[in-house]
Amino acid sequence: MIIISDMLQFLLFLAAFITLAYILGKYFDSVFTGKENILSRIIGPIEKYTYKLLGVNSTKQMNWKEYTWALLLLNGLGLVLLVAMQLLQNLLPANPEKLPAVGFWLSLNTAISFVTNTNWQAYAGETTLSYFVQMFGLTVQNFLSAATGIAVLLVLIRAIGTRKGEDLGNYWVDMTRAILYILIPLSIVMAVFLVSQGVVQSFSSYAHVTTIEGAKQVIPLGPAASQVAIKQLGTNGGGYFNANSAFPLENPTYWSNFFQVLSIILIPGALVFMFGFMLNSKKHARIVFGVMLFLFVAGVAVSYVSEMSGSPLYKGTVLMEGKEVRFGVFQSILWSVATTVASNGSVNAMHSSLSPVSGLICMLNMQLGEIIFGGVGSGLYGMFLFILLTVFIAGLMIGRTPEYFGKKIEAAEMRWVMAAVLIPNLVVLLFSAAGLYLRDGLAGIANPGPHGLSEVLYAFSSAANNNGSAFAGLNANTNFYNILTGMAMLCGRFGVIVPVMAISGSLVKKNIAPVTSGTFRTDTLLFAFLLTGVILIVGALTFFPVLAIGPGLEQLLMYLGKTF
Amino acid sequence: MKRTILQSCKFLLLFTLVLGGVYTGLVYAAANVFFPRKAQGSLVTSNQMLAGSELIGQGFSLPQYFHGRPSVITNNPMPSGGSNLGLTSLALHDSVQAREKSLVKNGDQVPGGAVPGDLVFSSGSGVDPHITTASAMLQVERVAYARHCSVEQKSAIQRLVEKNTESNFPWLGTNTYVNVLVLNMNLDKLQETWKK
Repeated sequence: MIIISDMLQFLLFLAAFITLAYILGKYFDSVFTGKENILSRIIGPIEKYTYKLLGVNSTKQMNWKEYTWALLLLNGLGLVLLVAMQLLQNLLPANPEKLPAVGFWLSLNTAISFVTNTNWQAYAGETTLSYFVQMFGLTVQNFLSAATGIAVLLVLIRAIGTRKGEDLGNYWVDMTRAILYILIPLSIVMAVFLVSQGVVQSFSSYAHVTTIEGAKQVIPLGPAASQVAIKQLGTNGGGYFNANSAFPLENPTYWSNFFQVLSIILIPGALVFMFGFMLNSKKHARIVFGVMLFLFVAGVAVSYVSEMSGSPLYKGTVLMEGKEVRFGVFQSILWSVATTVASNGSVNAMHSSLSPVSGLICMLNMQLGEIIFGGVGSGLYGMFLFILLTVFIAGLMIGRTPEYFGKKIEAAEMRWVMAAVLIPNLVVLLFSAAGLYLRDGLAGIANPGPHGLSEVLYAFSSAANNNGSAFAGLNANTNFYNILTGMAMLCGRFGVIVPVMAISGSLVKKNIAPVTSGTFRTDTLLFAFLLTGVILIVGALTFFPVLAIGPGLEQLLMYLGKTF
Repeated sequence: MKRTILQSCKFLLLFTLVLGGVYTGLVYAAANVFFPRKAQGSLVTSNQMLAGSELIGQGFSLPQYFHGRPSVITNNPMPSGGSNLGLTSLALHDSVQAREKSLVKNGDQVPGGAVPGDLVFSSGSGVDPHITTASAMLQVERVAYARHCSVEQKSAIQRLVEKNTESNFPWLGTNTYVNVLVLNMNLDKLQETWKK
């Protein structure tokens, strides 16, 4: 019975996801191609006024270097501002708990984390950050980092679809539209719905209560709903409270959970449809969406079976460690897969306490590069790297110059593709090795045995792929981990964005070759198989050895009844 | 270059105000107009004193109350969180066995019977407000005994558990659970009516 009910829940989830993603995809297309849409009457004037205030000439086009510079500058300044806010927290208003200033390395780590859309959290929200920093620092970067992802994706789409010199759009216009037309309206709807379920949105100081049995309890409050909405929608994932969406005031009911987990992959899914509309290639978009959906459903299936089959150490007992009763096993597993395929990283159950194979699925999802729906914008531009790789390999096999949308893929592009694919992988493996070799790295490990290895591997897989979830037993608030995960997050974000921008700069200048009978088609099932194969082979070759001695070994030892 | 720096500064400043201030404020206004109690944390009072939040689990250990999920932060969410112990952890195994023993000792569990996962494994938030209805039913006997209930009163407690049961999909009958704090407060009210 429970399995049937879980399957029905999954079908309901998938149906809601695909329908909403399609509708939104159509809307996104209208926003970015300047067509009339349902919100343009209201937001149009606000948009124009924003450009006036900022002194932006909305018709001015940028080439790839100008665009990249603008992007890096805004991100850099955002980082500096966010560090400053945390260092000066004690002097700033809206701090009813009188929380002290945050230390330098922790505030740097947190700032990098939110600017790069990672939202790795070495701090605990309720005991570290004031309402001011959460609102004006973190909430703002939740929006800006998601909008930046969309902006980079738009550049790439324009580069593929057009041929007009070097023009790739205007960064300020793309950011403004993404925020005003997409992120704010969706977040407002989501936030108010969340409050209706019980998520707090309060500026009062924490409630000090005396429980029914007479114990003292402190109940943390804050403007959480507004931040949780964008945290889910923008694939950010940084919890307002330490336990993230396991905390009842952040995720109180089944339905708050349903829509929170849906929001994780909603915009990334919608962007795939948008891409189909914008390039007038719906069939190709459906193929890409299908590959993502297949990998997602496969992940949920494997993880669910592993979790439900339990452990011989706890025969017949439902594995509820680190889970919440209102979600149960299925919603916890669904979330763990959704949050790791998308670079969200929020959790509604503690991943460290999942069965080893479920933990392995989480890690593999991140290590594949956050491209199964992936982060807002970053998921699809990451997927493009694999599409180009597939097109290239297919071209080599049949001995033709590879083409994508009629644009020739040549050595220059492939060099950037390889850089973008390899940088995060290299960072994961090298930094994990450092963590497992150096005393400072080993000192943070909480669980002995193979699970300890998984903690370190998980941390760097999460940081370098801008996910942000953790095997949270690891004590990551040390200088060693704050500095190394900070570097990993920067490499994983900008080590992919810059190559993608460079590829766009090169593609936009190329002629569009006409489709002939010899063209390798990218809207067929054959292409879907090839793409899936390339993704899995690159991921598998890089990470299988270390996954085998981490979660793989742990699962086997668990079956033998071994504890550490 | 200089122009771009200036542009970035202006953009960051404007959107810090719009997203941090206007957006958060709009949500605050809507939330506190339409759902004032929920926006402020669903707090509950007992004898005119703040007694907790409906959504935040409390530690119950007295025999006359239903007991909630084990918590590794003793139900004090400063900060919230779980054990993060892996399934091959010896520490986890030891605590589960200890919890199982105390369940048997309290009479909440039949020795050798199925072990209720929610009562031996600690929650993710440390303040899970719910337990499954089945786990609540296991405790009815003890609660009724501690409150010196008659047979009718004991079945009244059972009905109270049923009445407080929530379900994600009522028509499927799976995932049924009760809010422990609300149940216990209702239980105290129920006993008041018996005294009259």
